[in-house]
Amino acid sequence: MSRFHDGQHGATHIVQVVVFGRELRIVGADDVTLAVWKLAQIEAAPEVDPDGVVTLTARSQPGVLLVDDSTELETLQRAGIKLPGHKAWTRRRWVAVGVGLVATIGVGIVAVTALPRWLAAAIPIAWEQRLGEPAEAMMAGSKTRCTGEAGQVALDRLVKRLRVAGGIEMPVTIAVFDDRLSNAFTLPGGHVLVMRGLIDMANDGPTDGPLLAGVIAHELGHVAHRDAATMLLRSMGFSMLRHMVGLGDAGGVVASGASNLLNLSYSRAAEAAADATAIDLLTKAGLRADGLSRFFARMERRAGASEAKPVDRGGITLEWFATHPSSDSRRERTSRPETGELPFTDAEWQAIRTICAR
Amino acid sequence: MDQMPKAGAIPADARPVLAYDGKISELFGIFLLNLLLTIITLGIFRFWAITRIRRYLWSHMRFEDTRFTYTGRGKELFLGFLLAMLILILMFSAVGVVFAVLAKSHPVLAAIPIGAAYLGLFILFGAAHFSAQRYRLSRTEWRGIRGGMEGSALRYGLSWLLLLLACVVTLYQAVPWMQVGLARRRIDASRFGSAVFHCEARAGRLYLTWLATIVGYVLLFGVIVVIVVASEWSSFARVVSGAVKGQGADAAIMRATPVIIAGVLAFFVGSGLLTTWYYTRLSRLILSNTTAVIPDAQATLRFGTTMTAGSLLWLVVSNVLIALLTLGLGLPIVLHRYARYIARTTYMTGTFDANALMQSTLARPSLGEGFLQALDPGIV
Repeated sequence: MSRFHDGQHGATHIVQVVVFGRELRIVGADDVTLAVWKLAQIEAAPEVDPDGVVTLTARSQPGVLLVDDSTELETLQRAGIKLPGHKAWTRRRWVAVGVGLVATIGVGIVAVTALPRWLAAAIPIAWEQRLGEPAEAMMAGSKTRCTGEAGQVALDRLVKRLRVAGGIEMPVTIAVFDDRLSNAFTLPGGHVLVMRGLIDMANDGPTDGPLLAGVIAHELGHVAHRDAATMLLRSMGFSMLRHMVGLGDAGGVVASGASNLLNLSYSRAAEAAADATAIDLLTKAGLRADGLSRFFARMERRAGASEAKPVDRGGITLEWFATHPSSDSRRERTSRPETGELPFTDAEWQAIRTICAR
Repeated sequence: MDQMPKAGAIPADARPVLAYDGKISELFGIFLLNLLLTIITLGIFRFWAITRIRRYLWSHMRFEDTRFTYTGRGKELFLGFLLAMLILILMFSAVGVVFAVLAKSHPVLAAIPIGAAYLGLFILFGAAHFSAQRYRLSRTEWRGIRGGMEGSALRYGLSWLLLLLACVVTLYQAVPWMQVGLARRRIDASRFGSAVFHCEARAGRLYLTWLATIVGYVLLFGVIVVIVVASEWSSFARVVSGAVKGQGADAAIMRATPVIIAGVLAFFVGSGLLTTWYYTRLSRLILSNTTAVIPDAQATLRFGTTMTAGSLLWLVVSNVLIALLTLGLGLPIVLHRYARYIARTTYMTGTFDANALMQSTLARPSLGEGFLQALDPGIV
């Protein structure tokens, strides 16, 4: 039983369809012809509706014809009208879509993990330096830079020695900022920033020089691997992918969470690689290489003293979620004997310790 | 005919407006293929993906036992988006040129094109919602009859901007007037064939609800802060008094973290309840004051909703959880549940005479919701 809506009223006509020459006649009750459509102008909707009804319309003429009667559908097909196939989802199609999705996601993961590293290595050094300038300016704007001249000379000398030993191409600048954090950062373009807190922490006399040198060597490891630019490119890639796929608000929240987690795991790998390079640089330069592991030991002792190790609270180790792998395992991996030259002379060390004094 | 109906006061002849019979599995099939093609085409398939989802949802919604048909095409959305991008780029280039010219000679005047661009962008943003609704209605067919919208999208965008400014100036006291006013403008402009929609909701009815919601937020926040501070007073007191500094202060704050997190969660739940309560009253006010009239026919439809704050909160919270826990892949479930909820809660009363309904005389826009896709894209 076919139905016809004439496109003028909301009424439903029960109709029969008759093919007559090159025309389709739509005949209602009492044999009244409601519409005559040219066969060549008739189009079927691309999908069968949920009740198995085929929807037909004619170009340049109003009205909608709904046919579900199999003999009438056959008549239409014989008259040369292309009808939609049944939209059953065959297993093969499911498998194809599934495989395609998995493959695409795989390619996507490679694109955001490996690609940034290759790209970062391909960026000309001058470009990367320009990239780092605004970040350094922002940093300098919010904190006071320490300007002790002799201390700066001593730090520059160490950086040069390590660069030459490791054959690092990127020019490196090192700056100390007056901040109580015991930390150091590397910005794109070889800008190493040391916080005063790190120098204050090395308060055990000139034998603590290797501790500071170890952390600086670690940062030079990041410079050598071009980690800062890689990270920047990776996060740009993530946000581009997220916008392109466009899963909506909920999808966006999930995607940014997932990208944060992935970023954390990459940075853990990057930290471990920078540790290894640090030891390598110090050894090649003939310097004492035990400083990095002593730095980790001191961080552990400090965390233990304030018993504020929040990660241990619930009895679960959240190591995987931390950017830097736990200092415990890093201390063991970077542990070296106390052999080699001290990185700084006594006078140099004194100058570095007071670099922020005014 | 302005009224705020009581919850549960449903007329005897009420019947559902819509019936939804979609299946999650079928929606998944469409969604997964969409996802695949969208990734492969670097996002360009999005417009065709939206169209495929709409075609499914529309064809599984029935009114008076007849299914709707979505007749829009992905190409229309795509071209609309390109046009909108072109206009935005031209607009910003023009602003840039005028700014550059003025910046040297009249630095103060140079602010004018920037300000104008901001205002223009806001108006376009508001207008985009109006013209998107116009496109969707014009692509919705029921028994061969299509919908449409009368009036100017830009004028709607201007009202949107003015009402938004009113909200800011009155410290958000005007929010009900903005929400009800904009809904009324959109409903009054809507047509389906010869049927004319009309909304008589008045925002004044909602003001006390809104006021109670804001006061509720503030009270809730205050009470939670007091509870949190009292329960970890020993930690906070040492920090505030300066007894501990530096690392010690960090440790003390760290110790109070679980209590602070519990407080934040409590605020989310409490304010979520208040917000859904307000939105339930808003939806009820708007729907129960909306009518559809077919001229020359003794047929007026009135609408209403059985939505409650509890069921809405449950729907929203569970849908957010589904989307998060499935990493966004549960989106078909979310869509399905929203569609079912709307069909289940919206009812109508009065007579409907399909024979009196005539075809729409409004022009169909040739391109689809470009500005909305450019400025505020969504999944459906």
